[in-house]
Amino acid sequence: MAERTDLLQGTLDLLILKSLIFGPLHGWGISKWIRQISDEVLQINQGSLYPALYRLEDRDWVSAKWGISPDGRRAKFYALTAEGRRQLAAERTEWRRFAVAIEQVLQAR
Amino acid sequence: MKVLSKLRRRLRALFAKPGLDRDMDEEMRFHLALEAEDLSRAGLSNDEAARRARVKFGAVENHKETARDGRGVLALETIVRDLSYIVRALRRAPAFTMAVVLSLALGIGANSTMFTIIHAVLLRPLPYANGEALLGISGDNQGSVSPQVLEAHYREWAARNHTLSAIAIYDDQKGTVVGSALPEYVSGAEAGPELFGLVGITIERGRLFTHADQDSAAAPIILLGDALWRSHFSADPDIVGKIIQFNDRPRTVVGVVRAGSEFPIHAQFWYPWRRPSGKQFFFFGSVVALPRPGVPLAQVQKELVALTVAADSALPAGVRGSKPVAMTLHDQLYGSSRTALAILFAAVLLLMLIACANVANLVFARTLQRQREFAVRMTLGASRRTLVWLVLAESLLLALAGAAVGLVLSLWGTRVFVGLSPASVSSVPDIGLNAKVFAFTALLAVLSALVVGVGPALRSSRRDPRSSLGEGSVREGTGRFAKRMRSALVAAQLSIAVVLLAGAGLLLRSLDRLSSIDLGFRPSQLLIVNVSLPNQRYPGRRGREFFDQLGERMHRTAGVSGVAYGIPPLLGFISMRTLGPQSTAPGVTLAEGSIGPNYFETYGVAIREGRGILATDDSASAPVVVLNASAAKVFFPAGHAVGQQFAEITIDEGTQHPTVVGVVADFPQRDVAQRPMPEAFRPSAQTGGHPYTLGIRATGEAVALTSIVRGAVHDLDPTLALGTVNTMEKIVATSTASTRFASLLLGVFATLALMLAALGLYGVIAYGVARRSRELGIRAALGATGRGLMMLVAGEMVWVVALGLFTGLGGAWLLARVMAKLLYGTQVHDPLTFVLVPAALVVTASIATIVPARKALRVNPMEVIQAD
Repeated sequence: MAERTDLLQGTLDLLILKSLIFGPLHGWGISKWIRQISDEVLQINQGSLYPALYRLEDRDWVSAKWGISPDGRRAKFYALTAEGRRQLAAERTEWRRFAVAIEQVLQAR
Repeated sequence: MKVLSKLRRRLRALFAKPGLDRDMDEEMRFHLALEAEDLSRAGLSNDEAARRARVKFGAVENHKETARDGRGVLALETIVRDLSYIVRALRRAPAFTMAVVLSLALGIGANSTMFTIIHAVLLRPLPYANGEALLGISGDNQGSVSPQVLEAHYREWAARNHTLSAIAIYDDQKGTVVGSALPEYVSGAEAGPELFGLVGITIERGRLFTHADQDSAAAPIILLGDALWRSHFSADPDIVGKIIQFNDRPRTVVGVVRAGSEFPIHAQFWYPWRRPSGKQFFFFGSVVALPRPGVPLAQVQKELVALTVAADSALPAGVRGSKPVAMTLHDQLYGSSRTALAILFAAVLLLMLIACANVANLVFARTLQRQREFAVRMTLGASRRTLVWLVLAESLLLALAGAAVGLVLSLWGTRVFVGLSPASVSSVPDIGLNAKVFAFTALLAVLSALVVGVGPALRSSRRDPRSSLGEGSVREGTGRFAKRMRSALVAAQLSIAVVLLAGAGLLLRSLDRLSSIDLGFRPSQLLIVNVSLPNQRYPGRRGREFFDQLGERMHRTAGVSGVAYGIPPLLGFISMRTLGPQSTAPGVTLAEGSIGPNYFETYGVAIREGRGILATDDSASAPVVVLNASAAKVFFPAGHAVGQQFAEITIDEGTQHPTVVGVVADFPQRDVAQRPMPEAFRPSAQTGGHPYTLGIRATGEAVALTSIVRGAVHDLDPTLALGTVNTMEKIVATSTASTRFASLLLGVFATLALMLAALGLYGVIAYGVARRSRELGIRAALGATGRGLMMLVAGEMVWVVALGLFTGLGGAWLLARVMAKLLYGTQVHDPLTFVLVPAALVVTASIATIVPARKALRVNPMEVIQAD
């Protein structure tokens, strides 16, 4: 198992929103997607995944609905709302600025 | 809508918690299952996979709790938990809770009551079409303004104005309607057809009447009100076109007026304003008008005055000289109550301030007592925000409880208030609780919670916990700031009490003056009965005969010492004329009364010279007149009026020159507070007058005769409706009702204010004694005398009382000017009031100071010194 990387505070929301951009997913699907895309580097602690999901739902960035998973089981699916989409764009810009800033600091000689 | 959906989700999160928790369980289980499958696909045994999955997932319960936070459950759960905590805390302090809730309930209840009344009378738009834009045109006759103007003037305005888009004339009427029920005497109006569109009278069946119906040759018609149609005609669907008996004359019903669109208030019939040619200057009516859009009131007024002056030149000298006064219809109807209501409203607001000051003091003291509790909570990690919220929420809860009780009080208070109030207020329909009153009460509750709670709330959180947890911390709040705050509050309370007391004092003085007026007649043991005789069946002479018969029957009854017909004192006069100049003297407005024999004897009016009207003064004998003292003085300034000829009295049959046979004492024609006008009394038998009021003097209780009169009227003519029956004392009381009403209420409010202020003062002194008990004990131990200790405690209050008294007197001085209109025979700065009020305050303040200060004497030095 790859070494676990702690997520920077605030980036979890960004990752969840991003994971939903291709369509609704259930909680486990989200964590699995993030894990796979990041080559097992980003492990979402489930203890923070669900609170984050509920928080996002409360802010109307994602909507939740019970549905049937591809293998026929009842599961709760999360989908991006219009507002969530806007938020994703905003957070993404913010993240880029942040990353660039960090990079600049690290490259300083 | 986002807020709504969020709120809905929050509420669901709170109340549907079990369901949501099940949801969450299922979601977590699903996650674990997938995780385990994933792991087993990677080659682990099923059991091991499940174990690893759970380990990875961590403590499920823990996650659920964190997840709930994310779901926004916590905020509401916290609120509910805090509220139940507050309720428990308040239950432990029942005395405090009761005192606060009751004080606020009194204050809020009084305010809600006043607001209910003011909203209904002054703030609510009139329930008519064009409601607030409508004007009422009053007539100013040498300073006495009444809503009656000459029809001739109205016609001139209607024909020639350029400032009005509509104008209509009407006159309040009463009449006897015979339907399927007993004959009934009801209110209605004689109106021009312009009135309907102007005020929005609409019909539910039939038609309204038109100009064609006004023609004197047209068939007599009538419109019925919905209520009358239901109560007296069994809601007959075929009523339109039927002929009914109205004042014993047949009138064809042309329509039924929709309930709620009646004008004037309570009108239940309408018939066309007649238009006889010539002589129209004898008719008076009320006029409503609607100005053209954008035309200011002053411009309307100016034009009407100009038109009136022009119209006057065509009128006989006797009826000229009345000046139109345009005002909003709202003002015309309710303007007279505005000052009194505004002052009473101000009074209850001030009362509320005093109550709030007391409650603020209580809450403040309680907060100080709980300092230790707050300190503990803070040490345990409660945030400053939590503590502020706790104290504020407690105030809010108390204020809402107070408002709830207050609202109940105001339901009752409003009924009492309306029952006591003069007709200008009590006749207003639908005075009661409504959404606006409810909103006002809620607003008042929130405001008072803020006023009362913000100070203590901020203070409760400012403490450094360590200092409060330390030894002897119970003596918190001894700071200079706290002390000054309390003194300032008490001074403010006292000054408000002074203002209200002075206002009540001035009104009581007026009432005293009003009730001690020499009325000129004896109002006790008099019963006044109205019988409306239909003109048709009882033309002039027949009407008088009916009243003679009724009078005779009553006179024979045991317990009756005198009977007379004619308009009684305070209920007006037949007509009013301005007589042309007598040689060089200016014109005189003369009231004319038409009375029956023994009128003065029955009403107890003193005959100064000559005699009163006798039964022998009939159409066959020489015309006679009796003058009141004022008239005698004006027309015969040299005296010896009796035996002289009285010039120029015009009656239907022509001009008469009656001989003065007597002079009687003045008595007021309309209002106790108004100076009696000069009046000439003629025998009805000589003027062809049509009586409708009988005065009966009883030897015992006047009211006891009511059923006997009723029976007598029924015996004489079973189709007649007995109109209003009243005692003269009640009529006199009605005439002084507004002053009595205002002084009674302001008196109650002022007394409450004084009591609350005294309580505030008492509280401060008592608190001071308790707080300084150790110091006082030491002083006593060191040999201070009881007197010295008392002075120490009470001395500083002298300044507070003095400050309150003087600012209060200043306020009262200003209030008195506003009140000038409400006063009668009392100087605005009545010396007695301005001496008695400070005296009352000083006495009350002394008691409120000395009683708790005496406790300082009972301080036992040993006990308090050892206490710590």
